[in-house]
Amino acid sequence: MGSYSGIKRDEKNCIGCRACEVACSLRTNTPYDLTRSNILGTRVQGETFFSVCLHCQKPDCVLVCPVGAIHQEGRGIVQIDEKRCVGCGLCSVSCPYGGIRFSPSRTLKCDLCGGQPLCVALCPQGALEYEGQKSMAHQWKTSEDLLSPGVSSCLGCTAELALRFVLRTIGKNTILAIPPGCMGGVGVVGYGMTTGAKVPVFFPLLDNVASMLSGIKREYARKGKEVNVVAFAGDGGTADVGFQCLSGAAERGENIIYICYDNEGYMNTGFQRSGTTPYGAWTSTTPVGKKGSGKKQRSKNLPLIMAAHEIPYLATASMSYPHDFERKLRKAMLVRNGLAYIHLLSPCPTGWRFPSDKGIEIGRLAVETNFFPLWEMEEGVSRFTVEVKESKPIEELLGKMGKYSHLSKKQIGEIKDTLDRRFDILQLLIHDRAKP
Amino acid sequence: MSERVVIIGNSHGAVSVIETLRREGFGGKLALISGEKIPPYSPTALPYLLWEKEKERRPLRPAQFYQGIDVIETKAISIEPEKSAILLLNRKRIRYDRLVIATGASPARLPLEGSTGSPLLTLRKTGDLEEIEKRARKGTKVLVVGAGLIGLHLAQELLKKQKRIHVIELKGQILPGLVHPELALFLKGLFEQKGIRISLVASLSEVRGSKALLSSGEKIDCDLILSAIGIRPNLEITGGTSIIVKEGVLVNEQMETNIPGIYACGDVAEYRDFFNGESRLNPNVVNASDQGRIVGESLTGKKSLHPGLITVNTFNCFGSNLFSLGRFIPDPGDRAFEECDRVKGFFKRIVFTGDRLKGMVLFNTPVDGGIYYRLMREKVSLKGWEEKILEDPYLWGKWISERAFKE
Repeated sequence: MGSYSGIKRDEKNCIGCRACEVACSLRTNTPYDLTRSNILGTRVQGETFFSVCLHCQKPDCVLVCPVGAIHQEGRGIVQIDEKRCVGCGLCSVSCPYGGIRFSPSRTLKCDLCGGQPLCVALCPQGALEYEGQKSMAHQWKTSEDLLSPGVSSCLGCTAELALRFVLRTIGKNTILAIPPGCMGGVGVVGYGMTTGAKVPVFFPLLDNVASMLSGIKREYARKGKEVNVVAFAGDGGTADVGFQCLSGAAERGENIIYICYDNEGYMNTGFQRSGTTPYGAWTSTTPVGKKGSGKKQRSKNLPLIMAAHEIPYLATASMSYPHDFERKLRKAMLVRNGLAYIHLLSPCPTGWRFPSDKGIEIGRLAVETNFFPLWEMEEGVSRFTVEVKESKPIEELLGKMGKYSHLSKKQIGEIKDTLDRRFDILQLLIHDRAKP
Repeated sequence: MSERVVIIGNSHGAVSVIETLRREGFGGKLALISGEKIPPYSPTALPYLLWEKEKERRPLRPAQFYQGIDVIETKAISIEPEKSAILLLNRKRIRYDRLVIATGASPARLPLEGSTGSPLLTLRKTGDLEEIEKRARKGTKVLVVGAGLIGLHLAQELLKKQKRIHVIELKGQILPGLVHPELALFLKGLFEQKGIRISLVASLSEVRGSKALLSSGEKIDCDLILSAIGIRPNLEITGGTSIIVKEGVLVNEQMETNIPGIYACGDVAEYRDFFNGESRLNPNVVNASDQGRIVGESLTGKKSLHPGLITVNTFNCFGSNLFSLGRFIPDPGDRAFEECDRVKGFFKRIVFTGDRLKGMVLFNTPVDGGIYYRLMREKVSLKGWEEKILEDPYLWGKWISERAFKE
């Protein structure tokens, strides 16, 4: 085999937990199914055992393919072109390492997730490595939690989870702005003379988040210091009250990272409607009763509004797809020529009325039903980062929450139409931009 | 002057030689005499391309692959070893320092004397494919002569267009040489369930008009006759030379013929069998690629030795995978392990000689074929693993191989 450029395993740290198999089967972002994994990382006869395509320097599979569907990319990644593959299985017979799985009419192998292997990211032991990339899950265990324990958010809050995740990912060289909202209210900005984070954190007004951060970033830049200047603001502080200053900062090209955790309402003050509350949703100001039947207006499509600002980086994200979110955060950190905006869907157990252990599941369903597509726009080029091959019916998502429990068929139809229309726009954007 | 290597032929063997030369950093000049236009198509891929609208998407290798190679699109007529030259169809001569014969094979033809009916179609080149499509569009009744890989593959593809198919096979089972008789019988049942008629121990004696006369005396009405009865190596090129030819071009462990500097690989090459040492042909893609790689390595001064021919193949039978390796009919003294379930539709047979793997046939069972191919070639002892391999060839193959080849 000589040298190879696949995933490397540190035998000493591997415990054979099969997390890599789960990760691999999650690549296509449907409920996990170990039979779909291209990797083996298990225990056999009491010993740990790991096997995956090595991405050999001189691969036999490339030689044998009768339709030239297998090729080596510049970085040594051995790739099967699915469109060309006829499914004869000869590559699986020629590979001496069991790197190509053959199920009738389809040959499947590790493609290194396009350079960001999910198995590496999710190995809880940090035992897998690819080109120096280590495990995000391991990092989660070993990196410092920069948010204070004991903040007083509700049980099952996905925004708190996300904020901890953001800080672990972007690290200590960060200045954080948390405007009024849930995360402000629960104590991240502190009580009295102490703050709830181990990085400098401040409490701007709802309507000047981006402006204050612009000034801070500029001052550090003037002193020649690189620092991540990050807003972690709710949808009220972003889409409604704080929008004018965000729009201005985007237009001026301020080099800040703006993360909006969208829980679709003013949740910390008693679940009032906001600009991003979806049509039909119950809130305390769009009540359901004899007269009311939830919100009558559609939500603002904030990611598209931000896309229209033509900022260098824009993404939607969800804590249900941590690997995807992590990658987007890292991309946002690399932006130097303007504003990076991440719109994070943050299911709220209290305000949306679902059991506190269902936040991740609902976030995942939101993506799988195309309610909240995960996509990004990088220097004008847009793409889906999670491809949903067959979207689930929207009822599956709506049925999980109290805030939609009153919906009539007509209202569900209206929601569907809105989602379809928005998805069509997104597809146009993505396909138009994909052209060279 | 840098050395000039000339390859005659442009299919799996040749492509593998070219790729290997590139990988090994070959610094000389490379010329390729290709009877087919660039880009070529693999005979193995052709049945998959039947009915495919955009065939040009799936050549063996795209045209860019041939960049940097002096490609001569013509036929080579003969080799003149004393002059180190090849005579081409256009009467020109091309000189070589070292030569690779990778001319492949052509379909064997049935001798049908006195027949006046429609010609038998074979499938080896893209042109054949178009001809078959054209004729198949006109009629519905198809006779396939030969129940081997190509014949049965074509039958499956034609069935997709609701053709009435009759397959005849000279031998007493379908897929001879690829599966054991019990599995062959089961698979025959699968084909018949789908509506494909199969007659064994049957051959074609005559074709008159649209009537085919079988050896049994039966007359069959057919619009299209496909012949897939095996292949014959393309040996014409060696005529008049002292290159030793039996069934194919005889080669040594480094794929070199009796004339130093002349190599052969693929369907045209004849070499010794892995198990009994008897010299034979081994026409399949995996073999052609293996041999091409060894030619490439020999040309660049590496001493890789071919361990001997092993028959290995895969076949997709209505969505279930068949994997066949080595010799699966046990000789006296061999041990065979077997498990099958006709209801669930899986078959496993594994044959060991001593403590080594000798043959394997798996149907509808997950497996990494290449792992066992390697365990066999490298003569790894599998003592004590037999039952486990039978139980789950996929997991234990990986496990055993990992331990056997560690460092």
